[in-house]
Amino acid sequence: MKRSCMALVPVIVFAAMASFSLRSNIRVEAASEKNDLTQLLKNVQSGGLSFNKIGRLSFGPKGLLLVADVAGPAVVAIDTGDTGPLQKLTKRVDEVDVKVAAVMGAKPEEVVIVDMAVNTLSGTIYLSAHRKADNAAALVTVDGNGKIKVLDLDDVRYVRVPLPVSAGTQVRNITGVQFTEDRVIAAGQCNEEFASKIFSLPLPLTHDASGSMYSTETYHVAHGRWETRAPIQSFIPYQENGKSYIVGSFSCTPIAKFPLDDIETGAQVKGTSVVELGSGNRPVDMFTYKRDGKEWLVTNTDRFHHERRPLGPSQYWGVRVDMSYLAAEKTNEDAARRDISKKEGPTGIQVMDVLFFARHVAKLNDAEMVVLRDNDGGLNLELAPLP
Amino acid sequence: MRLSICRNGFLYFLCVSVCAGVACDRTYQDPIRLGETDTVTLSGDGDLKIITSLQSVSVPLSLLGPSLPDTIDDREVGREQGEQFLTVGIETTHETEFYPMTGSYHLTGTHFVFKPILPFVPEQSYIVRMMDCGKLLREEPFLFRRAEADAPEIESIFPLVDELPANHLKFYIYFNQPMQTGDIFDYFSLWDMTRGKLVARPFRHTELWSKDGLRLTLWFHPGRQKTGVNLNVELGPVLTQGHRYQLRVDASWRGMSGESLGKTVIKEFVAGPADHTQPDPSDWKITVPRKDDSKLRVTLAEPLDHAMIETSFVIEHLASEEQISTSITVELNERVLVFTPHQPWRSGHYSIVINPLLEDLSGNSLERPFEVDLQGVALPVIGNRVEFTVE
Repeated sequence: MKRSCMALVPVIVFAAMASFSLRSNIRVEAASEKNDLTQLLKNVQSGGLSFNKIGRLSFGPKGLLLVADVAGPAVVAIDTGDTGPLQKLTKRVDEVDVKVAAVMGAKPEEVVIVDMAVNTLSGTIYLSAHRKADNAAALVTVDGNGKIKVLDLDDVRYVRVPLPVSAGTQVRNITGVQFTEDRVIAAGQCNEEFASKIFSLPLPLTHDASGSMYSTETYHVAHGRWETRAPIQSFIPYQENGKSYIVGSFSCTPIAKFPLDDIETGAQVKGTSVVELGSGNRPVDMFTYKRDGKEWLVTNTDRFHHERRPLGPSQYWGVRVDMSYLAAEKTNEDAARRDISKKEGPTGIQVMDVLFFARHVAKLNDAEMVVLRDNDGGLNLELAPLP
Repeated sequence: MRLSICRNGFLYFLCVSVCAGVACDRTYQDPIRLGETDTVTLSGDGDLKIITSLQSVSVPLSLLGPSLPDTIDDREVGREQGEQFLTVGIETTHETEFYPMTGSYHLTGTHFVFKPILPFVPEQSYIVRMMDCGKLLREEPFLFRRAEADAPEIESIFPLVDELPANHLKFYIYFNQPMQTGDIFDYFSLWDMTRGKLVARPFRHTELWSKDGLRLTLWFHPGRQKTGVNLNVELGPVLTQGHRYQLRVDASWRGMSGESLGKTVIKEFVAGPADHTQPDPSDWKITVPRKDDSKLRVTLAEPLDHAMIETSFVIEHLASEEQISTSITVELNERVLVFTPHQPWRSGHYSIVINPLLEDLSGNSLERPFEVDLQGVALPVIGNRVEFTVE
């Protein structure tokens, strides 16, 4: 008999699940099993999840991960089962791009990290990644100890919701996907005319069901024009006086809010620009947090012409905006403009030093965020304090 | 022992040779074909082995640590436990740090099998590490070599015409196989032949692929092509009227076959006057079908957006209100649309209904010009129907 350093524990996959075969490698389950997501997901699938082109990420309640499948086009909601306890990243993960590529079996130059989200229940960080050699998609997790692994998509429960389209329209890009209280919102662009669209998917998200699509029109403060063509680059859901909005950020870089209540499918939704952050920037991520009774909107951006007109030490920079600007009376052509000559100004609009070199940011709580930070071409992953 | 994979014809080759430790030479013996197996088995026999694909790595229990039972029945093994005995990862310059691929482990009774979640990548060197309770016993490198495959080709770049408006917006590039995606814009450049220099940051860095991955929509940055917009003011427009340009696609860009384009692909054009005028179907010339030629021809006043043409036209027989099924081609420098009916025309009046969003090369649509304040501006009303009669 050989000595054994540990018991080899057999892994029983889905043995406890009541399931039946839908296709050879897909099972349909009752929604009440495991993590109770009955109010959020319907017609849940198990096994056989794949992505045509993986994109943006965000977390909903109960460890529900939303993933944009750009070439689907679809929104996939994954029950990660990752509901805690909270174990925050204990130390910075250096060269995370090298390590993510390695667990995907490739060199770092062969892998693109597309987006990042953090599960606020567990502290685990999720990265969507793309391997160039075979266009393979992966979800990669980084736990509190910095351990990195690829999520096995054959081993998750999910629903895939195709984005609504009308005759002749094709979704070319999905620039964001977010949970709200009563629906999931995605933003993107359709067709060759590059029009900006908002997609509304009702809860519970239902496998193979769809939702509504709206067109958008936004006043671009820096342009002094109304635009339909600029796509929303990032957005967050927003409530004001009991009404639902999304707050979106566009290239060059107006922040605008769009009403979502009582909108007919196919309608043109007119956004109200409330803040202009300055030209030549492409927003990447957005979130809000509260500090000392005040709510702040944080967004990080990629500066288009950093080399020509640098704003700071990096093309990647970020800002926080007092959320009271969203209810401002001065909008559109009179919207507040960030003073591009200073780090702060007007009052309530501040460049955040901690966001220089930030490629992606995600809020962990009102005191900390996760930052995927550029390090001379490589990437580090760290927790950073919110001011 | 060492593993490597060699190329022969259209097969994936896995070559396995044995030597002590990691510092073995790279002389391979004649290969032995393993046929359709997807698993490389480390047998320690020193023979070169050939397989057609590679999905997993199998190691005899005798090569692993004594702590691993070798008489156990078939079963899956948890990842953390499996990684105590066998890991597979890429060769890295970071000798002190080894990050194994994530995958599943399986005991067959005689072998320990690792299957990665993402498949192995051809032309990538991997290291197989065999351990006993995490203590390294031996490691073997191998190279999974790609089968010979066809190089990708660019089949066409639209617009085909060699004069483009100075406020031109986008190209459609057709490939004969899907390309490797992610960070693709380093493969594109715009050479100003008149100035003899590259144009700085001409493209919008958003990858827009068709669903089959064979068509890329490449945009000039709209913020630079639109008059008065900040990037246009600060950086200037991408194109200057009268200048000649080369849109270049770099030879090193690889397709999904793993092969590269092999040569730089160039589309040469001259920048003509900027176009701020909406396309107007009343300016188009209709050549109606005849008995000896069933094709309906529409001569345009200017080339239109290549991709939008496909879905922007509906032909109706007015009396019956039936839609006529046709195929559409574009001829003569993209100035003539040719509609070929799938059924013979009936005599009577017809209407061509055009999608108001149909654009010209500068983004001007029937609905609105590309450059306009949408607030408080009365846009010209341009009809989107053209009628014709078949005798």
